[in-house]
Amino acid sequence: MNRKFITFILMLFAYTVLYAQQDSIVTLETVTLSDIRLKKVADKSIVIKLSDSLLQNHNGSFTELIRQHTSIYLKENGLGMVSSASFRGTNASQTAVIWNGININSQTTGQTDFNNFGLDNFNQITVKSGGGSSFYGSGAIGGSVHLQHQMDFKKKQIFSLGSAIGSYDNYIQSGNATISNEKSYFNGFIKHQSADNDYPFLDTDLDNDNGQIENFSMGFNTAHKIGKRDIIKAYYSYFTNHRNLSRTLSVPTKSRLEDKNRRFMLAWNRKVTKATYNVRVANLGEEFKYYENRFKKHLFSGSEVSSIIASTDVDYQFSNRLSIKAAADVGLIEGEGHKIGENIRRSIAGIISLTHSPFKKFNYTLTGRKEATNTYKVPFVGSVDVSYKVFEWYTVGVNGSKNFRTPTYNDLYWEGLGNPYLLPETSYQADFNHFFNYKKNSLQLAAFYIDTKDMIKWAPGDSSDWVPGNIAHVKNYGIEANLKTTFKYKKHQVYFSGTYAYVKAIDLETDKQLIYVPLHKANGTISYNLKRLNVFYENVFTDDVFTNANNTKGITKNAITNIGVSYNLNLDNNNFKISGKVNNIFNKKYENVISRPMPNTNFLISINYKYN
Amino acid sequence: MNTKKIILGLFTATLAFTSCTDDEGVNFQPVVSDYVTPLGAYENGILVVNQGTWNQGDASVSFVSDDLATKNNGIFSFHNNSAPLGDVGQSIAFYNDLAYIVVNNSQKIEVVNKNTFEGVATIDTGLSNPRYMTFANGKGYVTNWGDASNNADDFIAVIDLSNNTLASTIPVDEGPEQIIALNNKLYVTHKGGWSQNNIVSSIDTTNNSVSTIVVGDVPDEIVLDSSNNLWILCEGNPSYAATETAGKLIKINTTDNTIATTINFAAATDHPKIMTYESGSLYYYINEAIYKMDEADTTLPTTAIISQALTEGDMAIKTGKLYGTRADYITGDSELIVYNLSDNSLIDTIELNTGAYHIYFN
Repeated sequence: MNRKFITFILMLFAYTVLYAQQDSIVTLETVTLSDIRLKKVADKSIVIKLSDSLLQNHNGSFTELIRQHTSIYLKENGLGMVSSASFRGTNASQTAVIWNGININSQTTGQTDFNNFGLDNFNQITVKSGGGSSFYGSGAIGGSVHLQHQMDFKKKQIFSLGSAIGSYDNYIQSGNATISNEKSYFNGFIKHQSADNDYPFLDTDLDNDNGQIENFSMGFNTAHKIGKRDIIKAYYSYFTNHRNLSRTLSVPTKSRLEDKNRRFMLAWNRKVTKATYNVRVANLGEEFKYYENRFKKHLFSGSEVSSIIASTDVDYQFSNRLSIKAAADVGLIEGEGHKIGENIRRSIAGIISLTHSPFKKFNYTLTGRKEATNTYKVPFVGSVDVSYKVFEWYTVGVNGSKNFRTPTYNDLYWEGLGNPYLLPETSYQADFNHFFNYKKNSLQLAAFYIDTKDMIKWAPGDSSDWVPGNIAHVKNYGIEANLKTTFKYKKHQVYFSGTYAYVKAIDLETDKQLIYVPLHKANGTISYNLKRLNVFYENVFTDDVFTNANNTKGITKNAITNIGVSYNLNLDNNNFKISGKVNNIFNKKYENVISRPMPNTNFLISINYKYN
Repeated sequence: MNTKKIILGLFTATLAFTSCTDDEGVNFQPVVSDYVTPLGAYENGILVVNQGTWNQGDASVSFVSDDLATKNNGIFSFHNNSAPLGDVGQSIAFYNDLAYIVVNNSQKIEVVNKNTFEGVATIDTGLSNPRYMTFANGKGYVTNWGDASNNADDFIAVIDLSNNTLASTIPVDEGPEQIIALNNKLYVTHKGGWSQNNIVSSIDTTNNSVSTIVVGDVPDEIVLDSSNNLWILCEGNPSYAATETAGKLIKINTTDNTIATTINFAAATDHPKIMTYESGSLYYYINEAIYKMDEADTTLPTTAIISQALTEGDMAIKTGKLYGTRADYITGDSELIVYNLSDNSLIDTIELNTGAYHIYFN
């Protein structure tokens, strides 16, 4: 192993020992959690929480946010273009994205485009490392990204308006209102962004001449208490995203992608003495149109998928030390599209989970899930999550789980090539976690191992046409470290957060690293606060990635730095905030996907007004 | 027990878990010429256009000397200030001292001196998914698929060779692929682009009139035999088409543009892919084997002369040697395979840049 790497780990270790003393672990439970299953295992897993304040101040994309603050590697086809995740070296369809407790990975591609989201949709992002199929179903192999809108019943009124102007004609306008009291909560949001996005490709005569973006989001989140025991909640979001797709260094293009996503969910919570009931019904719609030539709008391909997902959770608390959850998920997915025909998938899953603390400081959760569908057999999956608080400031955790990923509509039904006999991918994995907490400082360390069998891969078949098969066998292992720390001196406050991941993802057939998996990825943010002034410096380092299976071609490592400053002005109930950010301040030439350059130095200036 | 010892123990376990293997640096394959110093003189040898990987901009041209002793990969970049050739190297056409390299996905043709590979011009306006080029009547003719989503925008681009610009276009049916010139006539196979077609177009270059001949499904390779008959290799509709059909070998009499001979492949799953012609014999490739057939024969040979996979590749014959290319776009494996036709034995396998495709003799 690399010497530098060992030094790095030892330094982290030394730091921890230095600061590791007595403190308590923060609990995250509130009655108004929308992702009710998350809390069952969140305290035993590696979890990064991105706060409301971080989200509010972020005028960039979801991709930028996740890249900067987690160890997930994102492959972005040029700024704002299609962006897919690689979590712990797994592929894009092995990271589950969970919206208020519901898995929203695309039914057609199995993945989530991290640039196809409105960020105002939610006020808390939790990124959980490791398998989660027992609770969240397909795709939770590398980890899961949980998007929630947290609601509370405190009396308040907040209205905010925002506007931002950035390089390459980037304009953003947004509005947000939250009104709540002891009985009700309402939040509404609206946001629009348009950008020419025609940044130059450094060291060439070219620019991103087909990279225009326009997106719009709106929606609401609301909750009402009925009596003392019941809460009714509704969530709605609508997002349209029109993107001309960027050219590569050597391929000019006129293509365009138009996405439309709508999500609606009704939820009912009931809490009686020892039991909690939670029922959710959601309707999700995803639609895309792809134009090869945007000047010929009558010629396009696309698909439309509509799903109805319902779930029921019953939690029963036998004692302080023993609780049981029984849950059921029902899904009805209707898809129709170019090259995939018209198909219906039905599924039903049952989940049992037990959390037990046989003695103080030690607790474990056992979970099992069985799903049946009308298309393929889904294996029984389960997980064991154990945590032992060795000291007040140090907890050790172990997770073991079996997870799966179902074939997508494209895999199953693609005209003439899709394979209806595909099996779901299955993976076994283990995590060994360390949690250190001292006051506002925390360090999480994980070693992980994932063994994925029957991986779906498109490869030349008998007639040399490319067909999907359950052929690949991949082993991933590595280390993750997340550090957060705060220093305070009088009115000065310095905050640091950083993540580091070392990932090996080996195709056992060739013994080579999978494409687009960096061996090292590290990022850090240092932020300095003095009264109303905030200054920050952030950096992301991405190691070399390979772009072919022989590991002979790839993208060279890069480190990209951004800086920003903001100033708050308060007048009674009015708050004005002015902020500026410089991305890629050292004007580095870099790519996330081969031949697709990312922007040079660029600016964003935002003004926010808030009344509360 | 000592606190530090516990933590240290857990840490050691953590590290052991991530069993440490090799950690050597990354050496990305150079696109520009490797192995030996580029010659700058490519008269006596084989040129191979390497497609590269879709959307990765790594198309290239390799040179291998006739005696197979010298190899230069990436000669275009080397002789043109390291400029990348582009995306998806499709084909090369030769005219006098010039080589016209058709770069499909980059929508352009790079014109170079065929012996020095120094750039002369770039034709990058008026092309839309260009495929193959030929010359007749003092002009260049390039087949173009147009947009994948549009089956009515396919055309032949007519190139003014004096200034290397688009002179005019001739609209044709869906998916024009390979093109061959005979006197003032052009013959174009319509493979079908992103779908399937079943015709050959005949174009009179004196007045640009187009007539069509219905052949088998998915006509691709086209050669002229010793009596100026055209041989067309039709691949047949693939398994993912509405109806899968068997390949066909078709001979067209060029004096009256009629079909003289049709030879059917046996099974609907038989899809011959590559064909070349040399000294009275046709050589074609199907199911990982190469077959030889006399031009006077009316039935297909039953035994192969060489058993060799040429997946995604091409073949060509010169002075008793058969050259084939084979490429794997996932791994990046790419090679030129050379057989001795006197005893059908393998002479050599030469590693090329990603996506080795068409072979030309310079």
